[in-house]
Amino acid sequence: MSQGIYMETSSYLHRLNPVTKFVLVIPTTLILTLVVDIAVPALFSLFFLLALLVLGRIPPSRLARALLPFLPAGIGLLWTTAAFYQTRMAEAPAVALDLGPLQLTRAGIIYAVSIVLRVLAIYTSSLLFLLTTHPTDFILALVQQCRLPVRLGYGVMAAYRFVPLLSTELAQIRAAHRVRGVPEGGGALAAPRRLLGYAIPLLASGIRRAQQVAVAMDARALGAQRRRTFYRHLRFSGSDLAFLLAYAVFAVVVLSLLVWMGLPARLDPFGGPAMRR
Amino acid sequence: MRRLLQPWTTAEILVVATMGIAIGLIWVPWTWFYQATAAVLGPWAAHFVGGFWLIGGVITPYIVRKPGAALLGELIAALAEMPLTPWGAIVLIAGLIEGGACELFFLATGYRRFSLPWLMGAAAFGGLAFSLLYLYPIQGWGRLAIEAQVLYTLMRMAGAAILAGGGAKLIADALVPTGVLDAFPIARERRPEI
Repeated sequence: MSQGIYMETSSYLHRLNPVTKFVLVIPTTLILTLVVDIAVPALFSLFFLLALLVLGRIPPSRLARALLPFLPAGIGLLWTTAAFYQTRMAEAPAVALDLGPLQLTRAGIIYAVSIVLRVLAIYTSSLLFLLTTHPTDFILALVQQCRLPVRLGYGVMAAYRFVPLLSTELAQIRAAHRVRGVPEGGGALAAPRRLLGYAIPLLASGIRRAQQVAVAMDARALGAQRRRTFYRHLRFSGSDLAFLLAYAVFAVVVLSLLVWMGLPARLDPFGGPAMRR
Repeated sequence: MRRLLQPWTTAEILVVATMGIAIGLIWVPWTWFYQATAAVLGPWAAHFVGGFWLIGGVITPYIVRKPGAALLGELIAALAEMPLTPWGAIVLIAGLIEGGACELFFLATGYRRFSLPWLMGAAAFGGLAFSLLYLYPIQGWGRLAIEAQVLYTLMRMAGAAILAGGGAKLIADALVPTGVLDAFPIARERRPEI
């Protein structure tokens, strides 16, 4: 299975069950969408980045490269959120930054920063899973721990095996087109039409192969028995429990700190009932 | 009706998985296209482009026409996309919302309506659900000007209807004459009954 941005190495995080790492994304997203604040998402981002560096043994340069794509998205989200922010009645609509047609209020800028930090924190929790989990292990864990039907799990893995064959197949289709004298063509529509001309035969041969593999899987009675054995066993261990506990302690400490310091947090899933004029 | 309640065959699973993975791979360069649009033209245009992420929830039910096809197609596509785009594990949650919404739409039609307007409707409904359940809470749209909220949501729905609904129809219909889908309802409905 294609590894993507997964980083091959051995570490505490790599040895955790994939399901444990995936599950963490859910409470993180929930907590952060409920809180509009700058410190909380910043602390969550720090938690995940430190975990990746120390427990995941991801080199800082590699981590920086993985974070790079966030930059354009973050900048776009920052200025548009600040620009379209609806000032509340209670807040002074003081213009903090005047860029001619674009006037940003102080409240708008603070809100935009908190939203960008929120997305960054969710993004880093996602990265923790992605950088330390081999995609095949994730499917194996889903089959072994979450009772994903075997035919479905192995079916997806089998289909993923076709991907490396795509480039040879594409070369074949190109050659076949040339033999039959399909014009390479010019003009504005030539490129998309050529793309579709390659995509359809590629998909067709993929679907044909999928049905052959399905017959092979059925012939070997995959998934017919209730109990089956596995070449590699994944399980939940003490370190999974320890990591989940550490996360829970961290989340509780951060949130109680927030309440104790009286930071401007609100239960605010949809941005709150902003008073509109 | 009886066909709908039968368990999935292995061939159906494999074909949905293959379509899902193919779509997930198309989504990878699409992510960069989306980012570029957001940077150059702004979020309203990007939300239109982002509507294409609904295609996994439309094309597989159009081919297989069984309960679960929309959810499964979208989730497998998200799974294939996940290791290759920087968004990470969160795309599975996005896929769950988008695929789930399309699934609900097809369920409401009794898995019987698959003409172009219905495909576009399913995609637009998925785009609406994604805006309300994912983009609103995460990007905090609730405090933006009402005009921006409406514009973003409508662009997402329009992009979904045209790019995902129309794209699903275009690709799947082009696959039918190749004969590889002969075992599936999409090709069977075109053959005269003997």
